[in-house]
Amino acid sequence: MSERLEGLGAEVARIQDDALADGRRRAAVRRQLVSDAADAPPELRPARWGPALAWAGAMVAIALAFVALWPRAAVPVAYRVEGEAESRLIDRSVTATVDRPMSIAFTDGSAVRLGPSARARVSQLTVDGATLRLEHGEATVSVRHRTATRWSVEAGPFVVRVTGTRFRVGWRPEQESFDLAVFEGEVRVDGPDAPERVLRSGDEMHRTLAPATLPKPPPPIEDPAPAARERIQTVTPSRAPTYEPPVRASPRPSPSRPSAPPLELRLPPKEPSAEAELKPAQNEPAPEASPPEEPEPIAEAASSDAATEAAPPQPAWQTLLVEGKHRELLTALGPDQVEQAIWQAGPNDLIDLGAEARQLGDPRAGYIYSVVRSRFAATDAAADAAFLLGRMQFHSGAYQASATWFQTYVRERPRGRFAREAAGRLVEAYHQAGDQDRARDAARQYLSRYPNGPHATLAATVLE
Amino acid sequence: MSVSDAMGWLDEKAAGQPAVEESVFDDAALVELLRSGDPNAPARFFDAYGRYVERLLVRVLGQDPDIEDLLHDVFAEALGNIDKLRDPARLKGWLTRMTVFIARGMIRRRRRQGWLSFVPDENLPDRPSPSTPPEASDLLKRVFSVLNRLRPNHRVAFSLRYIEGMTLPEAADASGVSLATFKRWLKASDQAFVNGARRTDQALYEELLETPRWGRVP
Repeated sequence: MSERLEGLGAEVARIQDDALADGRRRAAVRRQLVSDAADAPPELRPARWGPALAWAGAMVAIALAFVALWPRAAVPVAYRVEGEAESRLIDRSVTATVDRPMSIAFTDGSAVRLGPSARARVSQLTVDGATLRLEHGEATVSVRHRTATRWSVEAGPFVVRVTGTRFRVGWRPEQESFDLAVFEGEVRVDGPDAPERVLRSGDEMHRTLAPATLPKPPPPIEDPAPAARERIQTVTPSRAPTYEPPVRASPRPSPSRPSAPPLELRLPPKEPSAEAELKPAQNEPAPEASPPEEPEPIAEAASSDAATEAAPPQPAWQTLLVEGKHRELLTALGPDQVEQAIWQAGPNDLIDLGAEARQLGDPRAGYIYSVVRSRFAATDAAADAAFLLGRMQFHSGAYQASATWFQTYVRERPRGRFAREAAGRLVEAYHQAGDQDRARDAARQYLSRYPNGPHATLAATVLE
Repeated sequence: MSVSDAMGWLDEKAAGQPAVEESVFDDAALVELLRSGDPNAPARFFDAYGRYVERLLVRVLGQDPDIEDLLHDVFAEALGNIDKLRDPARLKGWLTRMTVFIARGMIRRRRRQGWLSFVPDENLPDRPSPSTPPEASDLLKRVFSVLNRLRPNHRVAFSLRYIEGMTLPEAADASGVSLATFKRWLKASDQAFVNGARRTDQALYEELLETPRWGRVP
C-alpha cells in the first residue's frame, strides 16, 4: 500500500507545484522581511484574534442561551447490551446466541430484545433516539414515547419509523423476508416498490422480495471446474477476477438455508418483485411471540443467563468480523469458513471484506460484491457493490462491463454517495470502450448535474 | 557549492518540484552574512530558501490561506535565532525542522480549536491556481480532508514522506525524531489514512486501491 501512497503523494505534489509557480505570496513575504529588517528585528505576525474573539463571544452567548433554555442535556442516547457496560459505539455488531434472546437497553427508556441468533447493529444514536439495523432474525422493539422521539429500525430495504410503540420485526436475508407485527402505537413502514404505509396496533405485515431470484450458497461441487466457471461467469460479466469455490469431497448440509436456484447475475439488476401482504388486525399477538409489557431489566436477564448453559462458541469468521479483522479472515481461515462468512455476514461486513480482498489481490473480491448484490438486493450495500464492481471492471480494462455497473449504480442511487463518481466514470468507461454515442449522452447528463464536477473537463472534451 | 550540495541533500526525490530552485549561496557564508547584521542578508536568506520553505508548508498544510503568515513566521523565527545555529553547514536542516515545527504547531492549534476557525470559509481558495484542472483541485481537497483527521505527527510523517518525497532519514531528521519513531509514525499514518479514506471518502479509497498511475495494484 505504501507504494500506492507514494503514487498518490507524488500526484498531490505535482498539483501543488503548479500553484507554487505563482511567486506573489513569496514576493509579499520578502517585501515584509526587507521592511522588517530596515525598521527593527522582525517579529512573528500576530494571529488573527479579532475575528476569533468575535466568534468566540458569539458562540459563548449561544452556548449560554442553549444551556439556559434547553431543559435537558443534548447528548445522544446510549445503549447497554446485556452484561456489558454502557456504550455509544456505532455499527458494532450485536448477535444473540442460538439458544436465547439478548436485550439491548437504551438510556431513553427504549429497549430491544433480539431473538435467538438474531444480529443487529446500532447504526445511529441521536439526542432523540436511535437507528437499529436488523441484519438477521427477529427483534422485539419497545420505544418509549417522548416529546421528540426519532427511532427507526432498518431491516433489509425496509425502514420502520416509530415515535413510541411496541412491535416485533423480523428480517431473513436468505429469503429476503420481512415481518412486522405492531402491538402498541403506530409505525410507518417504507420499503421497496411500495409507498410508505402506516401500521397500527394489531396490524401485521409480511413481505418477501423476489424469492425466485435469490441466490444460494455455492453448492457442493464434485467436479468443480465446469460448474464453478459457469457460475462465476454469470456473476461477473467479463474480465473481473474469478474465484472458484472450495472443492468439497461430500455435500455440505446447510439446514439453515432453504434451497434456492443457483447464483445468477442480474445485469442489469431487476427491480425486486414483491409479494406484500398487509393482514387485518389480530386481536392479540401469539402468546409465545408476545413481548413483555416492559423491557426486561438487564440485571434480571443477566442473572438468568448465568443459569443457562454456556452458549456454543461463535464461529471464527464471526469473531474476526466483529473485531474488524477482515484480512485475517481472508488469509487465516480455510476456504470453507470464508465461504460461510460470505453467505452469512451482513452487507457492511461484506463490503469491507471485499475491499480487503482487493487490497490483498484476492480474486474473491468480485465474488463477494456479487453476493452482496444477490443477498441484499435493493439496499444501499447492493448499490455500492455495483459501483465497486464497476471500478474493478474499469481497472481490468473491461470498460463496457464497467459502464453497465456504473449505469446500474446511477439508476439505483441517483443521489447516492457514489453518484457523482459513478456518473463521471460512466463517461470515462464509454469513452474508453469507444462507444462515443453513449459517452456523449453520459457526458451531457454529467454536465447537467455536475457542471463543476471532477469529470467536467473530460465530459466537455467528449462533447467537442 | 550549492546549498543542496553542501547539505548532501539533493531534492531529486521530492516529487514534482523543479530540479533547480535553491540559492547558490554557500550556507556558511550566508549564516555569516546574517550574523553580521547586513541589511541585505534577510532578503538573500529568503531568496535562498523562500521557495523551499513555502513548498514544505504547502506539503504539510495543503492550500491554506495562512501559508503566507507562516512563511513569514518561519523566517522571522530563523532570523531571530540565527545566533543559536551551531553548525552553519546545517542551515537547511535547521530551517527544515523549524518549518515542520511551525506547521505542526498550526495543525495542533487548529485541532484544539476545532470548531472555531480563524479563517472564514469564503477565504479558502477554491483552486490552488487558476490553471489547476477541477479534477486536480478536487483530489487535493479530498486528500487533505482525510489528512485533517490524522494526528499531527502522523500527518506530518505522511506529508514529508509521501508528498514531499523525503527519504526516511531525511523525514525523521526534519521531524526532529529518531528514525525508529518516524517509522512508527509513518506506519500509523499509512493505516490511518487508508482507514480514514475508507470511512469518509470511499471514492478516494477506490482511487487509492485501483488507480494504475499510482503504482502496482495490490
